[in-house]
Amino acid sequence: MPSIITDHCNGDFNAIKSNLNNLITAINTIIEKARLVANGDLTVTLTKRSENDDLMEALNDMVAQLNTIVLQIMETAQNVSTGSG
Amino acid sequence: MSNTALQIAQGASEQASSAEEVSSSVEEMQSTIQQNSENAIQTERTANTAAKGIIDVSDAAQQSLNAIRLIADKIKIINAIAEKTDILAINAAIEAARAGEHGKGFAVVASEVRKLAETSQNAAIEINELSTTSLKQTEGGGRLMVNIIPDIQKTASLVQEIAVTSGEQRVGALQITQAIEQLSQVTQQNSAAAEEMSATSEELASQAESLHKAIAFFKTTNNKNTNVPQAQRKTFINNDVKPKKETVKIKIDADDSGKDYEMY
Repeated sequence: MPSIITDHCNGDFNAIKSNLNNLITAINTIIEKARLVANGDLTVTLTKRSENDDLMEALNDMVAQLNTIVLQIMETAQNVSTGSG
Repeated sequence: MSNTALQIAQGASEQASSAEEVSSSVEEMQSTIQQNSENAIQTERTANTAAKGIIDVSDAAQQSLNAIRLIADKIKIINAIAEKTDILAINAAIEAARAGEHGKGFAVVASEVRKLAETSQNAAIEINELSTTSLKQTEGGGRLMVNIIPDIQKTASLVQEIAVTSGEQRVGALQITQAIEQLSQVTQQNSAAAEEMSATSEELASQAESLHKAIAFFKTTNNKNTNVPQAQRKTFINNDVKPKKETVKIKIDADDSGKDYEMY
């Protein structure tokens, strides 16, 4: 991702600049969280930035589902281990 | 499951040893039955021989009986002859007395003849008595022999039944042996299956263990796997690879005069 735009802008360009910077920050946050998830941390919580934040909702659902599946797999493995012992 | 398989294997082993014991017992039983059968057959033969012998003895007794009857008849003849000789001797004595002096020697002869006749008569009577006794005894013996024959025949048939039963027992023992062999085979199969089950369950346990380790990579909200240290977790993403940090410089303020833009 590009870093935050620090150049001075005027008028509408400044609005565009600040909006772009917001997007960059948001994407960076998402990347950071996705990296945590990639490293196996399913305790990550992704907060919706607005009511229409579908991306965050989808990512949050994904992490929650992964968490459920992993827990189920662990329980099953435990059961198999106990049963076959 | 591994423990259960172990128990099954142990049980199968015990079953196998029991089956072996039973098998050897049945084999012993089989040889005893064989012995019994042979003995019964031999006894049957002996009984048949004895029955035949007794029939022969009975026949001989009958013949002896006939012979004794014949002897008794002959003795009667001898007795009659002795009686007649006695009378003749008396007559001779009378004739000798009438002859007087000349008949003296003849009188002595007649007296001797009379004595002989009496002796032979007595002997005949004794023989008659003896033959009567012998007749009675032989008749009794024959009756006894005839009575014994059915008993011996019954014994022979009973012994034959024993032989047949022994044969059936032998067949039964053979079937038991076959059944035990089948049981032994099943036991061996069970043992092999249990061993396989044990190996499979051990494999399953190790698979479950590796699955557990693999899944421990994830840190879940439910802190069930917190006993796995964070350091053990593999990392999929190399954190050293930094994302490209291309600074895009948009020259928004290159020309700030705004002459190229139409203002709204």
